[in-house]
Amino acid sequence: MIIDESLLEDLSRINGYRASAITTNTGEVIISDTQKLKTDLTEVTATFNDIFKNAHVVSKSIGLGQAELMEIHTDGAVALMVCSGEDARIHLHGFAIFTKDGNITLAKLMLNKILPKAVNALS
Amino acid sequence: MVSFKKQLTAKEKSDAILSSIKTLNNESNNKNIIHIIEELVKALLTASYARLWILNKDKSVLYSKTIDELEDIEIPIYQGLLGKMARSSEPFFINDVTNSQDYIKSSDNFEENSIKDMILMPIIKETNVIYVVQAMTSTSDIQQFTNSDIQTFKMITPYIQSLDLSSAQKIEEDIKINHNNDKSILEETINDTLLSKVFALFK
Repeated sequence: MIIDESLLEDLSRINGYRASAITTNTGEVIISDTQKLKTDLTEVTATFNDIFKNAHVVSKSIGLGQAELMEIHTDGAVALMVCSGEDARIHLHGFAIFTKDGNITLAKLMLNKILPKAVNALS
Repeated sequence: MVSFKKQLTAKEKSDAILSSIKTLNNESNNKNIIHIIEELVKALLTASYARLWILNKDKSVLYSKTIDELEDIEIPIYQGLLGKMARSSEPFFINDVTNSQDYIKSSDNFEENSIKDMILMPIIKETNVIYVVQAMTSTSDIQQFTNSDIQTFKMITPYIQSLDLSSAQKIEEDIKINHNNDKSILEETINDTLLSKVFALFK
């Protein structure tokens, strides 16, 4: 497996960055960067992964198609979740947490760039 | 630690099938034959677990001969995904299967393996399901099943269909008679059905 935390470097340079991870669709963490986060990211990603998985099921069942991106805004932060493709051989999820005033638009673009790179590196 | 099992190329798949057929050709014990088929299914589908279940319609159960050395393990066909497959005729796969509403751990994964995705294929003879082949990835596998795995699965179904695997105990008691039967079935299959289908797929 040729994938390490350096894949998350570009994301970590974006304004407001707190943490990020790439996981399997079932929530197993493949790589993560938690240096700027006080809580355990494994637990956080597992929780968000469940929410994202439910979004996959719901969006499909109501005929909206596959869930590709999810954004949760809280009082102080924004959690981003991106899916590499539900029906592909490798189905990964990308997670990132940013402060509310961070550059969320750029973060989403970067997450969408990183995930295909991770899939290619793993396959 | 997660890992990725790379899908076999078309040539690697055909090589794996032909190699298994050669091994099976010299095998007389049905338990061993089932085990070889299960290993082949694992290789073809990059699965971590595979099981061939035999349907006993009279008792309404699926049973396996390769789990326990001493007795056959039986699964009722009226529950879980395995049961659904035994009553169906179309193969299907469910990724992240443990979150499926139809998944019942006690029957679909009674060994309590750390499974992630599941693919099920019925083996049908004269419109009746005779076997169900089940394969599963592990939670440590990154890869999941796709539609191409159903097509791969279908490559070996004519071969499995031609085997009488329900009579393993009888074979063990009287290997010579049944061995000859099995061999003739194998040879017939290899000559007439499987190889032509396999090669057609790789043309």
